[in-house]
Amino acid sequence: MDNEHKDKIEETAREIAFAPFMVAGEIFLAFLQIILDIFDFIGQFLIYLFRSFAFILTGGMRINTIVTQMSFLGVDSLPIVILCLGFTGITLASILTQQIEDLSYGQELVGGAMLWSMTKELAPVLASLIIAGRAGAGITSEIGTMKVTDQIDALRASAIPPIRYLVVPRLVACLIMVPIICLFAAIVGTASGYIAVHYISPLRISYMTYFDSVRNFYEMDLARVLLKKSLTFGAIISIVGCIKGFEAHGGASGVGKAVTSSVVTSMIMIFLADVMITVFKI
Amino acid sequence: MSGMHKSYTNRNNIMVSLKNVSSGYERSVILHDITLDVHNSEIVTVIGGSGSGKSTLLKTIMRFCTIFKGELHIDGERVDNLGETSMQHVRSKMGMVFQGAALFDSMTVYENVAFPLVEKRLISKSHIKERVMTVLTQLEMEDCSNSFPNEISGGQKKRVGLARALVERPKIILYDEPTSGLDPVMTRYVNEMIYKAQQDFGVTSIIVSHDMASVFAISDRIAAIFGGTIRITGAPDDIKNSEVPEIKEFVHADKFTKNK
Repeated sequence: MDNEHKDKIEETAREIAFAPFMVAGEIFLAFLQIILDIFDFIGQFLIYLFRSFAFILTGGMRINTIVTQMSFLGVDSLPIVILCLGFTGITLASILTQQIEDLSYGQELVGGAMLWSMTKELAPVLASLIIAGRAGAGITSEIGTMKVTDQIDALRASAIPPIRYLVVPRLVACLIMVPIICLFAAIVGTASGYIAVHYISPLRISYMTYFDSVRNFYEMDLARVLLKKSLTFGAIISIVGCIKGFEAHGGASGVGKAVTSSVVTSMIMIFLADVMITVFKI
Repeated sequence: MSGMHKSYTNRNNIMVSLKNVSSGYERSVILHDITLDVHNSEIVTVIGGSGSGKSTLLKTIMRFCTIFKGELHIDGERVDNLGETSMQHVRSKMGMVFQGAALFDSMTVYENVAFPLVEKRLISKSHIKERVMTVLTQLEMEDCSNSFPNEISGGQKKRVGLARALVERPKIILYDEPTSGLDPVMTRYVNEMIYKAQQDFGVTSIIVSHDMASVFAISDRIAAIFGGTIRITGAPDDIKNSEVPEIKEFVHADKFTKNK
């Protein structure tokens, strides 16, 4: 065996010996990259949010574009949100009454339980997820298309800040419309629970029992939580939608990828913010 | 268009100056060590093969891409180190005509052209209308003022993009292939518009073009860019007679004859 072959064998042996460390190193680097990307995104999110508020405070709002966005992001999303929360209310109330049927007590608690679960959790989270899927995707596809066709650069070339022209109206529209939609969703979800407990369940819980329970369990804290969550989720939907749109590149397929990324990121951030607000009381 | 070249006052003022600039997108460097001075009211055309970095040069001047090295001066002010907010002020001195026109789909032709003026709210609505219609009439687009971008042809879109850049009467206009996709008559109109902007308003123009007839007709100077670096800068005649192989090939590429 000549020296050349010996060297090659030794080199291969070294590579095999170090392979686990190299793989571990690559996994560590990939993990580190993910962490860096998350911090990068959070940084971007805060920059967009603060810049938008700076424009709002310095009078950089255009009322007509805000109204247009409110119609698209809010009014057009309302029917599907009401439909989904109506079905969710019926399903949840049915599950609750099945439990009550087994336990043979607690009919007077169903209305209150529905109100609490709808207002504190289901209405803001589900409505926001639906808006993120519908309107958030719309925001990203519109801004993404503008990006890949140089329209964003055309704005900048005209010395018009894209954040003022594109982000501010969408943020303001979401901050106004998402709480309103969430309120509607909570009302519809709670009220539709009555359909299940009265018409579907064999318990046939009366109107008085159900809505007295709702009234007894109502407190101002519910409205405060609903408002806090819906405002946070509204900001997430609009800002994430805009950031992902601005990041789009590479033509139609690039816009498609940006839309997918926007919806996924919004959903993750909504759930994360929900945990922060509910569990850690932030 | 021949015989266009004139002498101008204040031509010694440098409007756009790039000193050893290397620029690109995120981590990829497209332009390497670019040095170019464009004087007041001068028309400089940038030629070069596809992918050589011509459009990136315009985007570098506009600060749409990252400057990794070197200095960029606009109208005497160093701008390569400015933040986005400060750049807005610098960009208000400039206009840009994009390769694909970059019109706003949701607006009519009139709204597209009026957009920068409306957004900045510097002049009254009646003055905006007057200015917009004047530019549209000069470019024979007044009949399409209520059409949307998807209802007009590619050439018409180009003219609307040009109108949008001209309506603000900027000091510097950057043109990214302003005559591509236009018929010969419209090409002449556009060249005349660029020339008229220079003569009437002292506009400094930097044009990226492949249309060699227009390039030689309209340019005061030509910069040839290949592989992300400027190979030669000179008067149209210098470029025509250049012995640099790539330049020679590029300039005479249209002289094709069918072998019989």
